[in-house]
Amino acid sequence: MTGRLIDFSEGDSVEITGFDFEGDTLALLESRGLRKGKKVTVVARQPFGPYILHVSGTRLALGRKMVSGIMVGSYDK
Amino acid sequence: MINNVVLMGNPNVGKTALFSEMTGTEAQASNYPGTTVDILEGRIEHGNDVFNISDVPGTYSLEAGNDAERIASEMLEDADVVVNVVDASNLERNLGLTYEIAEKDVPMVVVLNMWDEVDEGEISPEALSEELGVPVVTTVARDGRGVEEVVSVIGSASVPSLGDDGRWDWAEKVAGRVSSVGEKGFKGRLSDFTVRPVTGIPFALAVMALSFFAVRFIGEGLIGNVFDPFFQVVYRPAVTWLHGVVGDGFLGSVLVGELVDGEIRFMESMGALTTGVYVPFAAVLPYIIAFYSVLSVLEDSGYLPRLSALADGIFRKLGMGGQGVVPLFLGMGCNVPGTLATRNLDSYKHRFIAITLLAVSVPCMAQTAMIFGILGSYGIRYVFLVFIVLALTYVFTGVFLRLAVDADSEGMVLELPKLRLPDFGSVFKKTFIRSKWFLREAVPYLVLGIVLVNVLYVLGVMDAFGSLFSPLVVNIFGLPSAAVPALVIGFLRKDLAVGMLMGLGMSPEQLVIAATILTIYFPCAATFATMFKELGFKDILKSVSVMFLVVFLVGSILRVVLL
Repeated sequence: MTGRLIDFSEGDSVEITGFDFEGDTLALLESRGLRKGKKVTVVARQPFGPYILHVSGTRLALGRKMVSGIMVGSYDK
Repeated sequence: MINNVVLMGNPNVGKTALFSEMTGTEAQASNYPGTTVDILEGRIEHGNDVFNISDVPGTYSLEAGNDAERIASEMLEDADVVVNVVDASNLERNLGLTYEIAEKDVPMVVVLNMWDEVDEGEISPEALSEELGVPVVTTVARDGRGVEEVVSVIGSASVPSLGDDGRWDWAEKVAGRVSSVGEKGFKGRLSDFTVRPVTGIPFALAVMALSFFAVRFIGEGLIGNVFDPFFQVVYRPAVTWLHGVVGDGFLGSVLVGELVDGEIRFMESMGALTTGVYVPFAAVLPYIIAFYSVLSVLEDSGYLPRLSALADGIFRKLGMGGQGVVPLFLGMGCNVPGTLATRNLDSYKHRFIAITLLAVSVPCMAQTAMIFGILGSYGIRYVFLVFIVLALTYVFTGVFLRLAVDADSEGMVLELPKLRLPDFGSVFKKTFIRSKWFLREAVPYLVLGIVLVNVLYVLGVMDAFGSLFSPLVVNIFGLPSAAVPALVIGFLRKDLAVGMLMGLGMSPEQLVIAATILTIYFPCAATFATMFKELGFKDILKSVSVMFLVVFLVGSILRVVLL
C-alpha cells in the first residue's frame, strides 16, 4: 500500500518513498532523520495538531502540513 | 597551539551541562531543545595550556538556515578544536552534524554524552573512534562523569576521516556499524502514553494540576514554617528597635515606613528595611523556590516538549505553535527568561506574538505570590478570578494577534527528548541559581522602589500623578485615586506594586481589577529592557500599543461586571 503519511493511523509502520519538498524544508526533515528509505511508525495523531512519529529510535512531532507532503509505502517487517 | 575550543552539537545533547562542568560556571541545562540561545564563554587551564571554551547554540546543520546555524558556522571559523557533543542514544542523527564539521577540516574530539541512557553493549566507543579516527570519550555531563577525560584528550584531537558516501548515508552506515539503540521497554511505552491524545491530554492536565498544588504546598509551607516565623521572632525586634532610634521623620519613613495601628506591618509599612526586605525574602522567595523546583523537574524529565506537541493545535490558533509552551512556563517564573526563550520559535512573527502575550497576560512568580498574598485572605475564588481573566486575555489577544500579523507557518518540527528521571542534584542546583538570580535582580529594585515611593510622596509628585491619572483610574477602572502610585511603581517592580494595593481600603473586587490591570498595562523595567533588545524600537511600540488597548478593554469590562 502506498500513499501519503497523513492518511495513516496510529500504530501504522511505513517506509518513506518521497517528498513534496525540496531545498531548506527537505534538508530540515533529513536532519531530523526523515529520509527516503527510512522506516517510520505513527505513534499518535494530535487533534488539529502534529503527528508524533517514531523514526531511527527517536520520537518526532511533525506538523500536518509537513506530514501531508511525505509519500510512503508499506514494507516487509 | 590550541586556544579556541568550541562545543558543538545538535540541540539538547548536553553541551551546556558539559560546558558548565568543564568551566565551573553556573550555566543552566534543561531537557528540551534550545536551552542555549547565546554563546557562553569560559576559560580552563590544563597543564601548561589555557583553553578558551565556547558553548554555541545547538544546531542540526552548518548550512545557515537560522540564527543558531549561522552562529555555529561563524564560530567554527575561529575554532582550533571542536568538541562535538553527541547524544549517545541518537547516534545516526547526531553524526549528520559530525560529517559537516569534518568537512571543514577542523580537528575534533567526539563526546558520547548521556552515556547512562545507553544499555551495556548497545554502542562501542572504541569502534566509533576507529571509524572516525578521532578520540571518543563517554560522559554523563550533568553529573560530571567523564568530563576530566574530555579536557585531557583535547590535545589529541584530529580531523575525522570520511568515506565517499554522502552525509546521511555515511551517518547511517557508521551508526549501524557501532550501535543499536532506541527508547524501548517501559520508558518507550510511557513516552508514547504521554503523547497519545486519549491518554496524553488527561495526563497533561494531571501534571499541571499537580504542579500547581506542589508550588502552593511548598511555597506556603516555607512561608508558614520558615520565613515568616523568622521575620516575626528574629527580625521584628531588630526593626522595632531601629524605629525607636530613627523615629518618625523622613529617615524613619524611608527605612522603617509607616506604623499601621501602632505597629510595623511588613507588607504595608513601605519601609526599605521592612517591606523592602520582607516582600522579596518572606513573601516571594518561598514561591520562587517552589516554582523553580517544580519547573526544573518538568524541564529535566523531558516532559515540556511533549506538552508542546499536545498543545500545538491550540497554540497555533494563538499564532505561535506548541513551542510557545516553554516561554510561557519560563515566563511564569520571570518574564525575562521567558522572553529570551522565544528565540526557539519558528518565525519572528511567532516571537513577536509570544513576547507580547507574555508581557500582557503572564504574571511572574513574584507577582503571583503577591496576588495570593493580597487576595488569598478574601477567598481563593478571587485569586482564581484574576488568573481566569488573564488566561482569557492570553487566548483572545493571541487570536487577535495571529490574524493581525498573519502568523501561520509550516507547522511543528520538534524532536521529543527521551523521558528521564530528574537528577535531584541538578534540580537543586538550577533552583539555587535561579533563586539567587531573583534576589540579585529583585532586592535592589524593591529597595530602590520603596525609597522612590517615599521621596516622591515627600516631593508631592505622587499627589500630582494621582490628580493626573485619577480620572482614568477612577472612571474607567473603578479604582480609588490612591491606587495610582501602585500603577506608577508597577513600571519598576510588579510585586511591590501589588503589595502597595494593600491598606488602601479597596474591596476584593477592586483588588481583582487592580491586580489584573497591573499585569496587563506594561511590563516591569527588566522585562521591558529585554523586550526592547529582542523586538527593537518599532515593534516594541506595536507591542506596547497592544498592552494599552487590552488594558482599557479588560479593565473596563471588569469594572462593568464586578462593580
